[in-house]
Amino acid sequence: MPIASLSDRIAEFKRRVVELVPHGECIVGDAPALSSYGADGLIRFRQTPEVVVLAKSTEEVRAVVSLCAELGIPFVGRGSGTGLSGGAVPPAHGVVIAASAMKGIVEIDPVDRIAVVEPGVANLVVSERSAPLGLYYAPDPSSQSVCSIGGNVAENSGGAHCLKYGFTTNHVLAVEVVLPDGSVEVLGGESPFEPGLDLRSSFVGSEGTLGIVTKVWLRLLSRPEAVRTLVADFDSVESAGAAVSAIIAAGIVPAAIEMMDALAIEACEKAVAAGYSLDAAAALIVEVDGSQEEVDALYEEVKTACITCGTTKIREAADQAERSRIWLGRKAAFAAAGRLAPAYIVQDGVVPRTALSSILGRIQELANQVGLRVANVFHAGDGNLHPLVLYNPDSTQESEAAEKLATEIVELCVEIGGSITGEHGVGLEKACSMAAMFDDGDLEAMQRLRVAFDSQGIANPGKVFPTPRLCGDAPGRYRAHALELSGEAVRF
Amino acid sequence: MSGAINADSALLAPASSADASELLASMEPQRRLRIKGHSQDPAEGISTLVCANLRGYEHSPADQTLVAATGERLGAIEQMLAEHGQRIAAFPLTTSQRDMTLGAILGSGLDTAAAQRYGRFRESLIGAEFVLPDGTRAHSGGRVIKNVAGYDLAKIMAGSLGALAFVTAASLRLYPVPRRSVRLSIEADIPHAIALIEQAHRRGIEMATCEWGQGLLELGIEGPSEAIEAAVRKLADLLERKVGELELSEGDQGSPVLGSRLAAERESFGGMIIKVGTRLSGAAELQRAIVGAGLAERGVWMHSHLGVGIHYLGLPGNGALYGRLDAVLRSMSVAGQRVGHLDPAGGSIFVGRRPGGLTTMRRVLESFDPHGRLVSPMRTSVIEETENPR
Amino acid sequence: MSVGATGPERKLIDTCVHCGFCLPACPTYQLSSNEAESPRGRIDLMRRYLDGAIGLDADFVAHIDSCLGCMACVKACPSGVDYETLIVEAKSMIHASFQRPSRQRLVRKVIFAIMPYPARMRPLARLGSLSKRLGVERIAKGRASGGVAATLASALALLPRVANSAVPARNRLYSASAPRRGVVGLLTGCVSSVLFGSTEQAAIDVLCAEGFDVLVPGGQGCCGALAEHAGEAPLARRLAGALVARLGREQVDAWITTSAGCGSTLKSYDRLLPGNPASREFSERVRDIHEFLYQQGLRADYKPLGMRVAYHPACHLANAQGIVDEPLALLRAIPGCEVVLPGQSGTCCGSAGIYNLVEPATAQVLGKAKASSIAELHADVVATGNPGCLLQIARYSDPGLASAHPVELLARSLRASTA
Repeated sequence: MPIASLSDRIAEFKRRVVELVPHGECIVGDAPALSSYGADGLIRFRQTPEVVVLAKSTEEVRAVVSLCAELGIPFVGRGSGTGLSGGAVPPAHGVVIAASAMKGIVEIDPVDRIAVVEPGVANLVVSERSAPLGLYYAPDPSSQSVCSIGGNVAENSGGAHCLKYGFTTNHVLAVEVVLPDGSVEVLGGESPFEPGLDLRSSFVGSEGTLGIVTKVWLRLLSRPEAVRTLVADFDSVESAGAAVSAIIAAGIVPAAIEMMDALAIEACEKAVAAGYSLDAAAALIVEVDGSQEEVDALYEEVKTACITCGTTKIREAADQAERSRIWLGRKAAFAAAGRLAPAYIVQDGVVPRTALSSILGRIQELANQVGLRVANVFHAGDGNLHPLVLYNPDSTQESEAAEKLATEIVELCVEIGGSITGEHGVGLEKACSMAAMFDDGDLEAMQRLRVAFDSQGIANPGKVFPTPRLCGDAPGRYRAHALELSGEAVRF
Repeated sequence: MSGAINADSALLAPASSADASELLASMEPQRRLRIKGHSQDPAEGISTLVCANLRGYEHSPADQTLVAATGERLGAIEQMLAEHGQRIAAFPLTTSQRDMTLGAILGSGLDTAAAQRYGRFRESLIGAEFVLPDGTRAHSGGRVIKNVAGYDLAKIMAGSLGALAFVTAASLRLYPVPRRSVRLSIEADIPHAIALIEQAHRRGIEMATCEWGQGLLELGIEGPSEAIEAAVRKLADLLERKVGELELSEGDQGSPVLGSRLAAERESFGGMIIKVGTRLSGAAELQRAIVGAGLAERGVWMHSHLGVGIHYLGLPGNGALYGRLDAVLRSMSVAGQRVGHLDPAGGSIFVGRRPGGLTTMRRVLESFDPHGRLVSPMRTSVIEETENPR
Repeated sequence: MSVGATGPERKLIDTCVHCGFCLPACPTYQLSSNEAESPRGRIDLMRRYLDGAIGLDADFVAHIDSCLGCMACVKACPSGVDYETLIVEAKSMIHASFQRPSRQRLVRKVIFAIMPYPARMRPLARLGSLSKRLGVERIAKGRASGGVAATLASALALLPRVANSAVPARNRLYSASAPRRGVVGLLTGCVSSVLFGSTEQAAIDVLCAEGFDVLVPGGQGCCGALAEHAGEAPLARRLAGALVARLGREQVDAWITTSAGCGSTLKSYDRLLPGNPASREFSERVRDIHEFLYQQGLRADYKPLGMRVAYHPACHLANAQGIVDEPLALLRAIPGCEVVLPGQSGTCCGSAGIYNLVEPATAQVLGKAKASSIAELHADVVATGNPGCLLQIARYSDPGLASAHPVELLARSLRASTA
């Protein structure tokens, strides 16, 4: 086949794609609608796609991906577009394949505790639909009312209850995927053991760079018999941190331990009036769940640990409604930061749990140096911090300082043995920070996985991995892989 | 390189990642290697690369994480962690499992009774360091329990049978040893065991272990004493017995009553063991099919990590029953894999339904090891399955 | 800042951080799965328009037009985005700067030439009930796929089979029938005053029984809500100005409205008529009838009505005015009255001002869904505090299902004999 120019191939794609999607919808000529698919939950990055496909079935996704493969056109899968690292920003001259119209629940099996769902179904809907059977889906990202299971698979999403229950990868038994060559495979099985290489584990969290998920087998859990939740106020972040360590050291694995500093408390209160104390320097939300007897025993120990570490006030959720209100406040934290400043950057870094208090001090120092405010919310149990860097977007100087500060914070996390991202993913935003955590050999090993799935480099290119175009000139660090030299593979 | 290793030797036991990297980078492309936990009988034209000399660990008790070289042995790790009131997500069944290196546990994809509470061993794996067949050193993940930076290459190493890379260190999430653990042994066939598990779930009881074999169901209950007593009362209720009539034992050693029986059976077993996965309820169907095909009367046995649907099927003899079992599994659309001592030349390890993604598995294997330097039953089986579809 | 042709304000747009929490709340997104049919998508369109990245074309207009204005997103928004102002400003900008196709222009012209004016609306209502009995609307529907005929078909289909009872006399002060607690004025509106005389009568009966003198001034026109929500800002301003001029001098403790859609605009005249102290003072006295009765507390003797009531929370009551619990509390004050809510009770029924006339396809899907979730409740009557919702739900429900404004049920309970 003669090599057609990019614009010819795109034109051909637009011509042919419509017939491939008989039940879903293709957005081809509607410029405003195309533009609205330019960004995900992180609006700093934007790229208008050529075409958006609202697919209705695996077959439609397969057909569209096959056409992309045939014409060499890059694509990105999209769930609800709530990602916070720019992972669903379309590649240049690319196609968005959205799962938002594939939101069916295929099966919920109460004995085997398995749900089979389409990728567009919202995380919370799985739990809502399982509730009459006494079951629920454990991973609960803050955006769970919106974010899709497909997006959760792509990002290996976490949430407040991951400390005890694990992340998306621990709850996905299998995925049906459309690979970048247009083939459809089921990776994993109905039990956690499936023979062969564990491709399921690589696919979960691959941020759309290995293909598009079209069906997911989820492990459900029985709703715990009892849950108790408290909010403990502290007059310093250090003493709140000490309470976290004391709880963990006692051998307790709480369902969640969340920490907020004063500024974050203020934002959440303004947004949802969850009843947090505005005069506390830090607050912990601690939740224990399990059988009634287990909860009764552990809850008292948690309280004792908070008291020993100098809590100034303990608020106990009296009922489910109050518990919901407490969580509503915490889950609204990111968007609520908009109440404190016209713009902010949500950061996502991880440090060893024991380093939490010390990194907070370092963040404060860095922020003071450039005169910016930082609100902090963390999943304290697993060392995952979310500093919210507040700034005024009208000032170019402040905007730049904020971005620099946000990057410094995650690189600081790496320096003390942590990670540049705990749950938001690398996406576009942190591709350049990958080099802080991984050397050339590491990145090369990851590329070997990638080329095995996507030899053409059309699945969400430009994400996760640093490229010279994205990160400025850092070519000195790059070594060609043997396969590239032999012409068997290309880096993208 | 330290010079301690002669690259021409049939047994290669580097003491560090750097040594392993240098060793692999210096070899001619046609050299064939097999990756093992410790030394094995020599094989014609194949050198053995072992992790046994990779030693050392870094334990962060307050963070509940462990980074350990893959030459460390499970028993030693267990002992060290116990002093800090912690454990890893592997409850060895047999003495030989306790003697396994971390590398062998990882590479073989070993499952233990711990899978019920903590998931398969891969779920505790938060990072790995490895050397690619061409000598490239790499790592993925890290030492924090929450981390989504880059691909998770640690988990794909788990169960890869040494076909992708030489894993030199692993990062693991640790867990506090529970306040108290008891094990409850119940005579129950599989349908009854499944019904009991389902009812226990409905009553809010989450088991820590859930093992089945030889007509015996052994459930582990862990947590604060009050919680255990309440759970045992509820289970007694479900069984329509008094608490005093139950067969209870204290301690978290996997499955003490059943475990010792199974261990004895496993250690002395000379046949072929096949591992399969099903839904929880699929176990009953599987057992029925085995009986129905006349395999049970020919001595085929079944052990299960029942709650998670992982089963071992023991085929006595020299493999004469293999074809019949293969047909049974295929008819049920259950995928299986041979485990234990595997000979790369011994045919495909896959039994029953072919696992999904074989073509991609092959591409991954060829991408990590383009020259086929690593000799592994995983690689030979995947290639065989993709070239000769059954 | 006044509603007008300048378009949505950048400052308001920037309060949206694009988190997407509004998506599950938005009925049009739930139907279309299309980002451009969602609140954050529409705000993004406004942002991109201001950036100059996209133009004010027919596609842009279609995505803004498709918004029901139900404000369910406002409740879901953690950032406190003022979507109501944004969407009204966007619609006004379209009205001022976009040349709609002639068919659309004509449709809107006809709607706004009739609906705000009771004198013109009354003959249409009579025609409606006649045509319904003759089955004319089915003929109209069969022929039309857009344009005026389709609108007419939709309008006729909405009109009640029997024109509602007589309208209470105007320019009268109805005296309290219980120890006097104050004086209120009743806002009669436009469509409501033609089609829902019984609601007005019930409001008067209940307020009088609760000890309020009720003033019903004549010559009240439309409040401008329909026009404002459709982006017809100049007309809305004119109507609002006239109403304030007509009523501004009356000495009442509160102005009572029985229409949720009107209430939300009546309470925010400052947006339509900025810097006008009379309109602000007027707005401050406006109360929805549920809100007013709940605040004052019921004192009259409500007698048992053994019935199961399906309550539909009108968007402009629950979302735009935050009046959620009050109607439920009032209905539950009736002895023997069991109140139930349909599943997805927060989803719009598709009425949404003139929406079911200009976007009939979406309105029909929502209307059917709402009617079927109400039917599942097997209620004796469906109650809702907005005339548009009453028409819409009745249109898609079994003709055997009665519908009423909650205040009508209160009035019925007052009249009932003691059990």
